[in-house]
Amino acid sequence: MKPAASHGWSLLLAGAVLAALFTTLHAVRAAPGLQQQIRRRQADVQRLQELARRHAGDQAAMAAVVAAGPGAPALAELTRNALPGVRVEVQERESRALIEGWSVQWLDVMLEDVHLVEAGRYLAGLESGRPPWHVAEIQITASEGAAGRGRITLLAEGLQRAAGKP
Amino acid sequence: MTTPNAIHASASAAGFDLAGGWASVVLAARGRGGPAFTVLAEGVAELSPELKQRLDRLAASGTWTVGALAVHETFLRRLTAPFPSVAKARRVFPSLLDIQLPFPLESCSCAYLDAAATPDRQVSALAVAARREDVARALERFGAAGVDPVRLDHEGVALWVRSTREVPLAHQAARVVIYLGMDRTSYVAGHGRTLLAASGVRFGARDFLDPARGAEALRHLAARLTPWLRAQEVETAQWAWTGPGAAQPELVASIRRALSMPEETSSFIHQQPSSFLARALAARAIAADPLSCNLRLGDQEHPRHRAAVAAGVRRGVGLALAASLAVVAVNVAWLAVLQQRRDALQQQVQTLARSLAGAERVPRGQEVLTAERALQERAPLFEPFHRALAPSLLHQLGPLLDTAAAQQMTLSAVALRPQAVECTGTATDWAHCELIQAQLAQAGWKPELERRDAGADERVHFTIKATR
Repeated sequence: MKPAASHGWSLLLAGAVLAALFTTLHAVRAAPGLQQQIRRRQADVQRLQELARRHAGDQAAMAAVVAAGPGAPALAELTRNALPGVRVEVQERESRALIEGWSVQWLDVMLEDVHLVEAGRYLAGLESGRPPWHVAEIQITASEGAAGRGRITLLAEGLQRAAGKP
Repeated sequence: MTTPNAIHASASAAGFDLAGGWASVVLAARGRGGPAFTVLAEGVAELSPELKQRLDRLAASGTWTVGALAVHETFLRRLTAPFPSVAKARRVFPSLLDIQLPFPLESCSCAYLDAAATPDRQVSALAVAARREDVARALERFGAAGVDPVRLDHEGVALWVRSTREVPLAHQAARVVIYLGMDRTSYVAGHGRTLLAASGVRFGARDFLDPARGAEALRHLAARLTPWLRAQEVETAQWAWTGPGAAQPELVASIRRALSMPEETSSFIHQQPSSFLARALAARAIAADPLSCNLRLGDQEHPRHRAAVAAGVRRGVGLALAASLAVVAVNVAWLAVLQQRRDALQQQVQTLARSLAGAERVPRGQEVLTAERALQERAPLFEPFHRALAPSLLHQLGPLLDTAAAQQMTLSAVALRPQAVECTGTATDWAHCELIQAQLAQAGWKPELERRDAGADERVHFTIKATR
């Protein structure tokens, strides 16, 4: 090999070796930081996927209610039809707007001197509606001297959809 | 002074042992179990035209021609440098050799073989040298026979290496290899794997067998060899005979007598002794080892050897270059893959966070927090939907009333709220109240039972309050 060519090869080799050393050093220094960032991002993805699953559960619950119908039936009418002759008082305690036109309504219902077996059937029917009226609280007080009868007060929770919403 | 910068081994080589009017040629090629030898000529008076043509064809296909400088044309010294570093020792070997040579080192071709650290933290090497004028004479001798050796080996080293390869020597056992050439006699001594010394005289089998001069030649040999052996402290060594003279047992016997060698001295003759040196030279030319050497150096170096060494250097540089570039590529690719993975994950994090937060942009690094807050804020909006599908309090009221009826209990008031249950009534027995209490506890409530003494109705009055 001629000296000039040999010199050129040596320079090229030295450059390549230096580049290899530099990139190795750079990689060795940079890689741990990148790997740590990757681990953090993986943890973030896992947490976000967990949140997404929870959100999907919310959406599924809402979709199930939406699929059931436009909203719980009118409670006063339903109660009077189910318990003819019983003094029924229905009073709205609270109503709150939710999303996509849906709202939740809480109604206080008082049934005076009702036959408890009939009341049981009424309550069962209340919850089997689609969407149902959900009994949030209930208080049953037996009538003195009248076996099987009593007074029932309950708090019913139901979902309603504003008219005109899909 | 000329020292080698590299020794190149070829894939096949033809070893030449020439002595005016006598020649042996052996071809060696690399094989799986070691070199494969083909004897091209053995003890011929001259190389035939057919053989020369064949050798030309072999040379054209890359086979090297290899010769040797006779031991009496060369110098061989064992050098020891007082450093543990081989590199440093290599720098002082020329000075150490210079003071041992009877002529200037600058007029020689030298090689320092098998330089290695010794247990006492020194570096030992075998130095071989030949005067450049002797190299030139040897080349003329080869040229006269129509041979242009690409590589000129040291005869003594070649004899020792081949002898210990063909008949391995026990560890630390001593051996004298004596080569009975037609025009020279060379002898080499060593023990184990270590070559200690080599020497030779300018007369050989032709002289020993001459009826007129034979006896005188044998006396001269004995006079030179006996003190040399004593100096090497190898009087009890095993003797290995080779060379064309060794093919004649009566000559070997004559030399043994001349040396007054005891009968019990261990001795053997190498296989195919006439082609032994040619075989040794060819074998050494196809495999590089720490004792490889070439004394045809500097401006005497064969162009093919120079080209091969340069090609070897280029190949080495190319490999180192390729390795360096591969390292660069691996490092760059490694970082690129890591960055790509990080960016992909970042993109996934952003997409998920934007989707959950319902926002166009989410600050980098705040994705999880933003999504958590958004879901936390929206959670109350979805709770009624979940409650609508979940079992209500009535599912707990049914079993309570069933148990009360079965135990003939009378409940005067029952109140159920999400976090509290209250139940008031009467029972015929304390134990019945405890049944209700156990039932509530099993359903996950923490019930407390208040009992009052039996009244006029002779029933137990109780109140059970339970909380979550």
